[in-house]
Amino acid sequence: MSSQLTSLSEIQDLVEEFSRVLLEVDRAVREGAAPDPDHINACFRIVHTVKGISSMVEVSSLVQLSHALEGYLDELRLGRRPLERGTLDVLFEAVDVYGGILGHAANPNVPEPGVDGFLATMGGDLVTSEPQVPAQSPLGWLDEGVLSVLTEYEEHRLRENISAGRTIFAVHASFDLMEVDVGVERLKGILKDQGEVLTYLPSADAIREDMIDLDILVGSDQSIDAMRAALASESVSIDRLHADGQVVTGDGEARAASAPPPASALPSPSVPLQRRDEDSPRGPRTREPDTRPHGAAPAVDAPEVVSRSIRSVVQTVRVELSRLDALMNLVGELRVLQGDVARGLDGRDGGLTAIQQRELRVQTRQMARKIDALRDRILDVRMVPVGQMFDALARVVRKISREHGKDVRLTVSGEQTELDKLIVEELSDPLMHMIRNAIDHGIETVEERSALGKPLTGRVGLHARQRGNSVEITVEDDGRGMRWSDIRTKAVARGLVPREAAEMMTPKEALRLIFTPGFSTLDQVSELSGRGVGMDVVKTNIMRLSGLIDVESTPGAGTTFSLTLPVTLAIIQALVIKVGSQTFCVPLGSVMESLMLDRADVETVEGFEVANLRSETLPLVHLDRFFDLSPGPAREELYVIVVGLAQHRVGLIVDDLLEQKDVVIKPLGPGLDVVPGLAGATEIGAGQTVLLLDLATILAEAVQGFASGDLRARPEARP
Amino acid sequence: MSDESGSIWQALLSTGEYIATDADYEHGYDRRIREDLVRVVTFRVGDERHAVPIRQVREITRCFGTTPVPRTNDYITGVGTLRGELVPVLCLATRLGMAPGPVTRNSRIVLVTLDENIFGLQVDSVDGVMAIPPESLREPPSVLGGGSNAMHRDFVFALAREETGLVIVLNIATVVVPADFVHPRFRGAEVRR
Repeated sequence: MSSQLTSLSEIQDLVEEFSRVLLEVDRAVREGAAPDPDHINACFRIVHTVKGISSMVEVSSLVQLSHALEGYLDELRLGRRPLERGTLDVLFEAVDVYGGILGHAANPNVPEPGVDGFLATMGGDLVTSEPQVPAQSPLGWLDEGVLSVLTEYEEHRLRENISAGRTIFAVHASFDLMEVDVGVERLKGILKDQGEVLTYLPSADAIREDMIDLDILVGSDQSIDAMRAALASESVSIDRLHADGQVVTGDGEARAASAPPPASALPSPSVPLQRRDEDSPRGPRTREPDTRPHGAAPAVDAPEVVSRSIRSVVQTVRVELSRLDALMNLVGELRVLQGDVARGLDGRDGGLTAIQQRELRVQTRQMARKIDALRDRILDVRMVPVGQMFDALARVVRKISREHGKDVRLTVSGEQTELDKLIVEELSDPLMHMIRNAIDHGIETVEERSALGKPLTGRVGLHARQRGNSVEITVEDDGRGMRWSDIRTKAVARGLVPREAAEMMTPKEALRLIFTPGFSTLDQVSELSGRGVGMDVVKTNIMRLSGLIDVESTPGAGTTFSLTLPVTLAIIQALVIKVGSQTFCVPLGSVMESLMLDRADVETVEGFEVANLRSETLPLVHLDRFFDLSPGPAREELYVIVVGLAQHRVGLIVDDLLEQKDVVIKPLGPGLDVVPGLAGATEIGAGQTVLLLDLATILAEAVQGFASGDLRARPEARP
Repeated sequence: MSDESGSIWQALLSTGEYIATDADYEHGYDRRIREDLVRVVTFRVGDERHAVPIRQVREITRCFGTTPVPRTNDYITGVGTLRGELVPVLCLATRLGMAPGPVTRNSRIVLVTLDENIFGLQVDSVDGVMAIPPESLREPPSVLGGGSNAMHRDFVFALAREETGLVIVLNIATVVVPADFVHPRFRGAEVRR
């Protein structure tokens, strides 16, 4: 992968982190709490890093955006701009703009979003100023040891304060070890009113073991007398370090006894200053979380950013999925070869002694195990936690609920559940649709909720958990729910289902009608959810992933959608079946059960063959007729595999069930990949190519066939 | 994978453009090899001799096992796996409107490339490589274009009359049309790719 792509995906990671922190801040703001200043600082630091990397990838809009955003965040963290929901809207929008720019940078076919418009919303003054190095006020007067532990932000603020003509004070305070956090908070409160707290430095000359001494650098417009007055209640000493544009030497007004020269008022570099983070327990950590070793902190910050990003690249390797696919194909072939060898061994006994044969068999079995282990390791590499996707969805929840003026809280669980990267990518759109539906159609307005006696804040839940070889994701809301009888009525009114058929439906079947194309519960077209395309799109996407979707709803209490998805599509567990004289594979994940049916148990309803399966009516499809294959021998007992995809359940009649196998599926290539009903092919040993059935299409066709009458039972098999 | 004569042709194919032929030596060994000759791989389908341009031929193999693909046109023999790669195989005889002959030990699959994809053409036997001077290439006669053979004429790039007989140079782009693989009854059905 090119370094450009590496940098872009690194930026993407940072932007995701940015969005995660923003969500934290957002939660705090919504709850009316003061947001943790660390979070804003973290945002600033992330954006700053993004800016650094952006300049390397030479995407000017990224640099522009990051620069403007950095200024915006700087104002935020200095309290110059109020931190409120409107401000957060801008920041969340920035996340989207980043996404757009990255999308365009990675694939020029994606239209580039206009950055200018967004920059204008952030404030024109920030846009016009080009990235520039602030005028360097000399800081040589500050002890070198102090200078080297200042973060770039602190240093920047220090310079800014000096440039603004403020006086720099050193406030020397001493706290009891047990009360340091309370004390620092109190002092901070006072100092904040006087000016800007620049940094907290643990002092070297602590008098007692159980005391912590701090030197606090403050930039202020106040005179030293005013400062003293303000801090009268605190046992602190105050020195002026820098005033009126020049270094203050020997401040006569300072307490004579403890008035050291300015430089030595601060610790020298040899003291354990560099480990101050460990030394000061939790208290004065208001600085931005800076993970770099302080001792290594260089005076210039830009190269630092660069070298840091290079280090992180070394630790993780980004791999294109296509490379993993290639590996997986090779492993699949290796496994086929192993099978051939093992079979060849069974077939011949000449030339080998019994012992030799046994040894070879043991070895081929071990080889099979190793190949399977190799395959599993490759699969592992493709797995990513769903948490990343959930974060993006949390942003969607926030945005939509704001647009709708609804109060919605998202609860999330199972973020660590892992899924194939490809599935995660394909899943985010359907999930977004479902969440939109939940907020748009599901959750009531605050007034309605209060009238109903429900909690005013609506709840949308997003949960993931692993269940064996599949992952279950549920999207639930505590909104108004759906009434199955209403859905049935609507579906009939829209001509989506014949009245007679609708009347025979169970509540569950009726509820599943919402997945029918063209169905919408809200008559009014909503800006968000469109016109009844939502759940249809969701269904199609889930089917494409060999997934299962189901819905449950209680009127007045809410709706739950559950998706069951395979952990990966790179390798699938397949059921090898025989239809007529031909062998096929069926994804095992879509096979709900297989059963043996007596021909006498097959009934016909309006000419369609059905079987009764635990009081639900199961439509039957003869696969040989479906594919125009020569039928196998007639039997009194039928093998039926019950397959389910999305809301459909159908029984496929096959001639035999051969085996269960892990297979690597390859696309059929141009010309054959459009054959309806086939999803790919795989080699299952001895050079035999076996086609994989595309159940999504087969079911869709079957459902259509039932509707059109094409699949009516025929008295005799087709010639 | 190939018998002795097959591997000779493989070797010849790999040397590419400048294989001297009988025609090249007609006037003695020092005759300059013409560079504008059209080099083709010739093979037999039924009683006819066909050819495809050599630059579109990737490989010639013995017949390998294929799996019939339902819902495709009758000339699609099936799909096979060759060294881990899925290859659709066409029965050229059926495609050209002739009755397919039995698969014999001489039967071969000519792997051709089209738009970077590989397709197999099953033929009754492979003759060899031939260089045809452009001036001896003829437009197919218009009678071929009449009636139900209209399709067939599109398949023909040119005709060449050699001492050994008539050679029909095929136009691969019209013979191998992926969009035409699926049986018309199943086209336009819901396709999700």
